[in-house]
Amino acid sequence: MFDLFSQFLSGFAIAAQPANLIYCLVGALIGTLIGVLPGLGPVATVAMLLPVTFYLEPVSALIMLAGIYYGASYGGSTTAILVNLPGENSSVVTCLDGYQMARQGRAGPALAIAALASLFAGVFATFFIALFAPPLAEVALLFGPAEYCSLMVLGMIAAIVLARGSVLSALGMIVLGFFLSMIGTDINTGQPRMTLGIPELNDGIGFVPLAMGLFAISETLRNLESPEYRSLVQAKIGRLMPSRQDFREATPAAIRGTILGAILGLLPGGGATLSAFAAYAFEKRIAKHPERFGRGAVEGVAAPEAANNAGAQTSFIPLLTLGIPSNAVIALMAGAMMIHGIQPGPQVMTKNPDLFWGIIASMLIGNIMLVIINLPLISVWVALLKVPYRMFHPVLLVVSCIGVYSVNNSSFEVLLLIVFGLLGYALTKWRCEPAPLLLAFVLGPLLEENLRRAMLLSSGDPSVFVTRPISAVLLLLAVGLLIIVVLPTVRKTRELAFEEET
Amino acid sequence: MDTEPKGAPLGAPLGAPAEWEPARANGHGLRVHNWNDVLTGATFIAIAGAGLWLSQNLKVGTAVRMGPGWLPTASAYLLIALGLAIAARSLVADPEALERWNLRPVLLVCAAIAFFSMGLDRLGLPITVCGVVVIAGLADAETRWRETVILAVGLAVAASLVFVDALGLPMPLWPEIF
Repeated sequence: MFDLFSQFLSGFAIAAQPANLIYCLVGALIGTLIGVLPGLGPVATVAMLLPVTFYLEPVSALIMLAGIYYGASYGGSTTAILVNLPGENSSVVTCLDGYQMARQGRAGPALAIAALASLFAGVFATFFIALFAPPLAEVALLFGPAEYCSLMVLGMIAAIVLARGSVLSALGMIVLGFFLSMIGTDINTGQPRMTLGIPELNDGIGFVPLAMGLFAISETLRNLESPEYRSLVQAKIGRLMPSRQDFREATPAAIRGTILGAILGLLPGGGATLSAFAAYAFEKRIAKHPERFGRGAVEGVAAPEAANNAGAQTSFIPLLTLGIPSNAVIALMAGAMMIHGIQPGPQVMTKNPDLFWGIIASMLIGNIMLVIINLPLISVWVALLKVPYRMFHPVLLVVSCIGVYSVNNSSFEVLLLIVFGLLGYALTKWRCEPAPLLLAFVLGPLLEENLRRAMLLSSGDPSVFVTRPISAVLLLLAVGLLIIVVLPTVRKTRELAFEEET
Repeated sequence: MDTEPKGAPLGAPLGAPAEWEPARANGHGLRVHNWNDVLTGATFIAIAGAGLWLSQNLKVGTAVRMGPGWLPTASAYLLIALGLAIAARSLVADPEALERWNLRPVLLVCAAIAFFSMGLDRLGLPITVCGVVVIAGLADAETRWRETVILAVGLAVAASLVFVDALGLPMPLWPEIF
């Protein structure tokens, strides 16, 4: 216990270095900015900023990217409350009661409650990670190749649960991502595979053009085709301070939301959006007067805002302990770690304790920064909402192009951006979400390596995966999950949840 | 994302109204209800087929000692199977209209990226950035040209200062002829 405490403190020493403080602030600011702006999400932003992180220390890079991720859920709530438009998927439910509060002239208290609930959740989730990640990593150290394979299969299957659209399509996207990850030089024999004789493909398809194309470019294309609509910005924000009664109602809701979010964030495939939906539904169910919800109930703002921030943060646990990214943003961070030569997984804590504890401590600092910078800056964010999208997309395009080019000084990779931008656009139109593809692409090389090793160790007997107990449990979980998703009742709720989201 | 206007789905009779919806299969032969699924399946199969063709010379090996071709081949077959299943599902699934593609932004955004890729080494960063902004401006029907010109010049200057001067990325600033 004492050991944990001292490590946490050493993490603070790293996160509090001036340079890291600045990157934390930059990340939090960018996160808020893109959270406020509808049509620009954390996945696309993190994808676009990946190349920049090559020039930073790994700790600084990850501190900044993490800041973008949890900052986005803060910013998203501002737009949700003031404009009734979710700046972020995770703040969709905040629109329901937050905007109603704003219409009743209580925009200020709504914003303050959202920020304070997020802060509380962020602080709690930070300690949650510090307490629960180390023991989990120790379990993961017992894993052999077979267990790792099964774990990755479980992670990929879990990604299906939360992908919009049909299970079959999501499965296809996973196999496609796995397939694309095999392009390039074979690890064991050094033979080029499916490279079309293009020398640039010998190192495989670049992670940056793939991620940026699938998310940033295809998102730009989708935004360009639907005419922009933003309802009027609520001019008056009013007094920020919530009343005593607001506090009395919001505090228990925020605590429940935090706990629910922290747990749901742990699930592979979980994260901010799922947590917010679950917390709102839960509050409505246990409320004495459920009819208040949707008419400006404070709990309806506090609980989902707490939950989405807690979920965003605890979704780092599977990455840092098991090496399994649980959603698209986390998958991008896994990519960023790999680019810096750090293999995400249980060994991060032993080999790079500075990185691990530094990121965790930075979350605490970042959350406090967010409240301090956000409440006074609300008017600035609101002003930014008035900048039309036609000014943004050329900037995004230029930054994306320069970013991709800068990774390897390769014009070829810029062309890959077109290929994956089109693929992402087309597949999204056909109701296939690109997140599972990205997840499988990141996990692909690892899965292949461990699969080949496991088969070699077992002399080609595939039963190792079911005779080794941990592996068998993981596979059972994966199968169970798959069955659950296909069950008609669950399928209906899942469709409903996504329906509300769109 | 479901708010976009939906046109007449592919496979609708010629001149059918926009709200034309294919009838459910009722024993009078099979009918495709969901072209989204057909196109998804076809894309998966096409990619997997190309992969199979490209990896035909790779040694497949055995399950104990997998050659470089083992997993590509196996996953290509899996992808084909899934593609077929997804396409087949469209025969029995609930009808779903095909979303219309808006070709103008798609083509122009791709053109802007291609311009960057081809132009950077020959034209230098500032001119390339201006070109990208102008082409991207064409993609958006709401573009106002005065704004675009200011944006192009501003971005060209900012990008050169930030990426080349400050970060030191190796990108040419001037066209090749100088």
